[in-house]
This record gives sequence, structure tokens and C-alpha cells, in this order.
Amino acid sequence: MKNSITTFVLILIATVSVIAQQSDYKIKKEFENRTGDLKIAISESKNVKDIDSLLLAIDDLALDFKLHSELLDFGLYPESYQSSIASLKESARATEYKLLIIENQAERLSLLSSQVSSYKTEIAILTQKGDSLRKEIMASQASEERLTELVKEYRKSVEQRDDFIFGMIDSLFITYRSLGNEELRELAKQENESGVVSENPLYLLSTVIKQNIESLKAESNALFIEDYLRNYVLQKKIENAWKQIGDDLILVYGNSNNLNWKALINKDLKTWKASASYSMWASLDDYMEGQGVEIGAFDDNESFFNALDGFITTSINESDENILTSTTYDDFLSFSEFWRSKVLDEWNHYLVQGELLTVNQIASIDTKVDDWREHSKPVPGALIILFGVGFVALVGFVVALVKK
Amino acid sequence: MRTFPRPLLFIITLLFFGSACRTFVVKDVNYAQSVESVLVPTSKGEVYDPRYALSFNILPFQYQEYRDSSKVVIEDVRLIRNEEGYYFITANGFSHVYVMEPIKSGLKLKKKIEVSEEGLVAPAFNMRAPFVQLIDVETSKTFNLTEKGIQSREKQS
Repeated sequence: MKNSITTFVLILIATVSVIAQQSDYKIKKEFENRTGDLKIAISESKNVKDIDSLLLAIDDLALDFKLHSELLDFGLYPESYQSSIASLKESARATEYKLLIIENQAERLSLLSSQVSSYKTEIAILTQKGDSLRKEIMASQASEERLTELVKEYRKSVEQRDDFIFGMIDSLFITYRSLGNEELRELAKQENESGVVSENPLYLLSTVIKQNIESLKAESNALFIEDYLRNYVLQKKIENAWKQIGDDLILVYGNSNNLNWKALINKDLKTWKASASYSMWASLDDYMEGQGVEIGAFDDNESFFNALDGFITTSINESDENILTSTTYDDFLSFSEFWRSKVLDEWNHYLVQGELLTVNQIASIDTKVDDWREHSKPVPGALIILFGVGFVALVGFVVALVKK
Repeated sequence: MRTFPRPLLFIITLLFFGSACRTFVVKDVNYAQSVESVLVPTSKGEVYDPRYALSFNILPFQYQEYRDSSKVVIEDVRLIRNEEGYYFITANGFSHVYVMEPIKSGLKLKKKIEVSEEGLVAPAFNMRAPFVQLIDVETSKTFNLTEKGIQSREKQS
């Protein structure tokens, strides 16, 4: 028993002696080296799993050096044992959070990539269908009834295609807008490193823009004002989305052609804008003329509002001058029908989204339209007779009084 | 009761405060460095400790050891300061620890402590107040040092 106690004491002394013979500087240096290695490992982590194992390694480090915490507090000044461990954990958690987002975004991107692929196919089918319908309409010798049917079908296919593109732009926008700069750089790195060429939204955007320019150039008589309005709004939407996520898309998918992509899409967007704008204003002008609403010349948002506003103001004044006739009231009814059924109902969405008229401008004109109604209502015939009888009676009464 | 002469009282007061001002001293200052500094000399022998803002040339120490200061042969300079404020300086290959006292723009040798005949292989200082512990990590020799010399020599483990 005595021997075993002596052995234990000797082992204890030897252990203490070994501990005592460690260099404090070496302990500090080892701690710094392991901390440095962990920092590098955290910054180079590729996935959340890596971070989980690094968090365990940080716990091990904390445990290994707990005995020397006091020494490290002095040696690491202005850092300390606790602050170094805390800083490592904080850095690991921040990286974990970033990687979680990236993994989530990568999943979404992969999903988007397959969506883009299906969009591409769907758009191609719809475009092909639209083109063959247009050609059929142009060459059609069929009855008027059949022609109307073809036009209806063609317009429906164009609408479907545009709706598809609206959805695609929303999807692209939501995905890329929510990514931070660092995440985008990481995705670009992954995209380049993977070697797999995923569906490139830049190609798709460029194709969509070119197709729209071509279809506007084709000048088909089958398209109506609503189609041109929708196309104008679509151009605006793509242009706005491009302004906001274009650089991000180029960063991820542009590879070495960053500048070329930017220049090409900017140029095509400009051409589409000019073409869509011209077609839409011309079509709107034709429509109003066809409806007998002569509001004067316009070719942009400002002149359109001024023309509408001026037309109603003039009409109100004319109504005041022609109180006894119903001519201006007929004009009012004609305009009111156009205003209610088209502007406030069918086109409202496009007008506001395309910034052709603002919500305030529509409200202001709507108030004036109500005023016009009040001013243009002809005075009823019975009221005129009653007024005449009353006037004669008054004159008779005055004459009678004078004679008396 | 006899009154103390006023001029004498004035002179005594003046002397008291005057001498107090000249010898203003704060006691119980602890200069101890908790962890040694390991400094790599430049080709000219200059070493700089950024933490404690101390710089000096190691070549005079090298000359003391090897009688040669033509080029720097020291890899790392080990330095620690004890509670009293003396610097303990050594390096790999040195047979001595140099206890240096800071003076105006200099370090003055207080004690040259011989710790190894064949030279230290991997020396390291630890602060083990009131001693400065010197260990040779390779040979596991340990010494407890003060500015006066070796206070105790621990057995090799």
C-alpha cells in the first residue's frame, strides 16, 4: 500500500515537473497557431457540415487550453482566452449563416435553372405557334368568321407568351435581388468551378428581347391596343429588372463576356423600347380616333395626360355654353364609356405599370369627368315649360299690380 | 511656553517639501512580464519587441558569448522582465543568462549567470514569481533565477 502511494506521488511530481517545464511562450504560440488555423478553415468552409465540425474543434481548443487561460489572458493582450474562443465561435456562426443562405440560394438557383429551361421551351413553342398563326392570318383567304377566330387565337397565344415572360422576370428578380454581393460572388465561383453549364438566364433574356423586337417589326394587323400596352409594360418591366439585377446576372453567368453581355442587352432593350413605345402610342391614338374621342396629339406620358385633361376642360366649358342642347351630353357619354370601360377597368393595370398615367392623374381626370357629367346634363323640357309659365305669370302679376 | 523661531520653521518646511519633490517615489511597482518575448534579430542584430516597445542590438551579447560580432548567428532572442524590472536575456547556444538593468538609453549588466557549459539548446523563460524560470526544452534543465543568480536548480525529469 505504502509503495503504491509513493509511486502515485512520484508520478504526480513527474507530471507536475513536465507541466512546469513547458514554455509559456510555446503554449501561447500553440494557441495562436491553432486559432489561426481554425480561422483559415472557417473562411475556407464550403458547407454547413464543415462548420459543424469546426465548432467541435473550437470546443476542443477551449478545453485543451482552459488550464492556461490565465496565462493566455496576459499573453494574448489585448485579446484574451475567452475573447479568442468567442471570436472564433462568432466567426464560425456567421459563416454558417452565410453558407446556409448560399446553400438555400444554390437550391433555388438549381430550381430556377430548370424553370428557365422549361420557360425556354415554352416560349419557343408559343412563339412558333404565334408566328404560324400570324402567317396564316396574312395569307388567309378564309371566311371572315374563320379569320376572326384565327386572330383571337393568335392574340391569346401572344398573351400567354407575355404572361410567361412576366412570371419568368418575377422569378429571376426575386431570386437575384435577395442575394448579397458576397453570396453572388460565391455563386459565380461555384458556377465556374462546377464546369456544368446551367441554363443561362442571360441567353433567355436576350432571346426574349430579340423576339419582341421582331414581332413588333412584323406589324401584324392582328394585334390590338391591349396587346401593344402589354408589350410596352413588359419592356418596361424587363428594363427595370435588368437595371437592378443585370449586374448580378452578369457576375454569375457572364463568364469572361461581362462587357459584351451588358452592351448587347442594353442596346436591344433600347431598340425594343423605341419600337414598343411607337407602336403603343400609335395604336392608342388609332383606338381613340376610332371611338370618336378627339383629344388631340400625344406621343408620351406627359402629352397624353395634358391632351386628356385639356379635352375634358374644354368640354366642360362647351357644356356650360350649350345648356339647352344635348349634343355635349352625347360627347360626354361617349367619352365616359371609353373612360370607365377601358381606362378604369381593362387598361388600368397597364397604364399604371407602364407609367402612362399615374394613379393621381387618373383620379384627377376621374373627378373632372364627374364635373363634366354635371355640366353637360341638358335641362329637361318640362322644366323649361314650367320656367316659361312661371315667368309669364310673374309678368302678368306685375302688370296687374301696375294697373291697379 | 517657548515659541519656535518663525524663520527656522519656514526653512524646515521648505526643506521638507523640497526634498519630497526631489525624491518622489512610488513603491511596489511590478515590472514583471507574464510571458517572455521571443525576438528575431535583423541582419544588423537589431531586435524590436512591439508589445513592450523595446529595441536594442543583440551583437554586444553575442560578442560576450562568442567573442565574435562580425555577423549575426543568433536565431531567436529570449527576453523577460522580472518583478523588480531587470531584463533577463539569453538565446539558443548561449551559456549565460544576462541580467540587465535599464539605464538612460541603455542596458547595464547586473549579473551574468552561467547556466550551461555546452550552451542552451532551446531556452525559454517563464515567469514564476518571484523567480524567472529558465528551461531548456531540449534537455529539460530548469533553473529558478533572480537578478542575483541561480536560486534553485530543479532536477531533470
